[in-house]
Amino acid sequence: MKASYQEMFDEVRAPESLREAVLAATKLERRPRKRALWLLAAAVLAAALVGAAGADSEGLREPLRGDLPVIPPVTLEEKLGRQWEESGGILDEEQRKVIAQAVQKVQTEDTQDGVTVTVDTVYASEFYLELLLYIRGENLSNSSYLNLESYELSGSVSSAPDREISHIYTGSADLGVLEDGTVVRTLCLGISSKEGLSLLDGAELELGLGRLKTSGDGEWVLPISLAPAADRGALTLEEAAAMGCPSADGGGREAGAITLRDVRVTSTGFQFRSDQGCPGTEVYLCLSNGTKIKHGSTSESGKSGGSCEVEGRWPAPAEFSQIEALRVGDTVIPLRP
Amino acid sequence: MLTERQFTDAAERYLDMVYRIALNWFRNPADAEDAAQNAMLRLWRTDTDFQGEDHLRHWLVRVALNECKRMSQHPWRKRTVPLDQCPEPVFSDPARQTLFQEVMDLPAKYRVPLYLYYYEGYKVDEVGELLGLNPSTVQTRLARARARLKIQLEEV
Repeated sequence: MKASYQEMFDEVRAPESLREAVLAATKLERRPRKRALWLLAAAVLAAALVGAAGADSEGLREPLRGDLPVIPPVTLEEKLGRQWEESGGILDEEQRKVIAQAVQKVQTEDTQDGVTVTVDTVYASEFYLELLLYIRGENLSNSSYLNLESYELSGSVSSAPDREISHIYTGSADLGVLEDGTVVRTLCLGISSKEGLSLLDGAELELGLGRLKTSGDGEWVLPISLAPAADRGALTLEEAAAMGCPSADGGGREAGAITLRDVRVTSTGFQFRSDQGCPGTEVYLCLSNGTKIKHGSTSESGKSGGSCEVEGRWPAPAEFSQIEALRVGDTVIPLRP
Repeated sequence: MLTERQFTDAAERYLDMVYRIALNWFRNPADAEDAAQNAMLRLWRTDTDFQGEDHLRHWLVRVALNECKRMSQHPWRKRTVPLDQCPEPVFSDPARQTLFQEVMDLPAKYRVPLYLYYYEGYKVDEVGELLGLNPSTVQTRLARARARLKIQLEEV
């Protein structure tokens, strides 16, 4: 039994997304080394002198705390716009309007232990919620490190108020620090796509944050009301063939044709199923203006060589009327007659 | 503190181990990812001066277990996800798929010592020390895990 147990666990590997997140940890602040007080005083004095000499200008300056850069105020719309462009999209006036319509103001806050967490704005796709958070407090600039160690999303979507959502995914990134020391953080939370619930229907949610390590441990509770999305259209196909899809799961399938079933594409993401294992390929959204937008993130679940369910989201909402096709592998799959 | 290079090397060597420990604890891959990420973040931020590779590995195992325990105790972590909603790893051999399902069907109190003993090669008393259990308790749990796996695999 030992050998088979070992061989089995040899094949259990950390997901690539986890690997990337861990390697990105080196970009995060560390607990600063203890230093002699005189060195610290010298650093503070030097920073003050630089500020007084009119080093103010556009762009980044010396960080107020830790390794986070000082940044100008940033909006979730701007972040989504950047993601859209980086993924191959054109950020014209029309696309900016699409993004602006999709981003919702929340502006709820909670204060514990002298630290205030604010949910400023959110962007909801079917199964994901991206949030822009502000974290401010008197002790932040002197804190050894700032680490929200647990996030939890609870509540229900408007179409099924009696069913609790299942929070299954979390990711966060610190964008930087504002002039006044406020930390700007983005948070992405996901719900299960298998329960038939969609955040685009609107929802009453609660974000719980735990173990914010500044001056003490606290628990912050922030209610979030999501309005239903204006655009909830979906393009569907029962079946489509896709060429040039290598096996993503070590099943040994040569890059060839696979059959996608139950294809569903919305302005915020996509889903499909394959009976031949998970396709190890990128997915692109093809728009009528000729651009192809690479997916923002995907999730695959399934068995080697067997049924695989794939779902993913676009880097920002697309204008639904511009969606023409989906590209999977080498194949462009038209979505409209 | 580890340098960036040292941390990256340690992540390459031990992230799978940390993830497997957390997966055995939670069964739910999403929670396992959270715990693994938090444990590796602690490695990035620690001031510990590691006295060799064994020290670092043992430290990481302990931190991973502590992180799993801490997350389990958090009030918002009292939810469980049905096994049929947990995306499974993909195996090249259906027999390994079956064994994985049977192992994940075991209670966590059996899964974790089983993994530390049979995969990471810790001795019974070392597993006990890591989990805060008497060696006799570890022996009992390993025996019961083996018995249950044998029964479940015979039924398949």
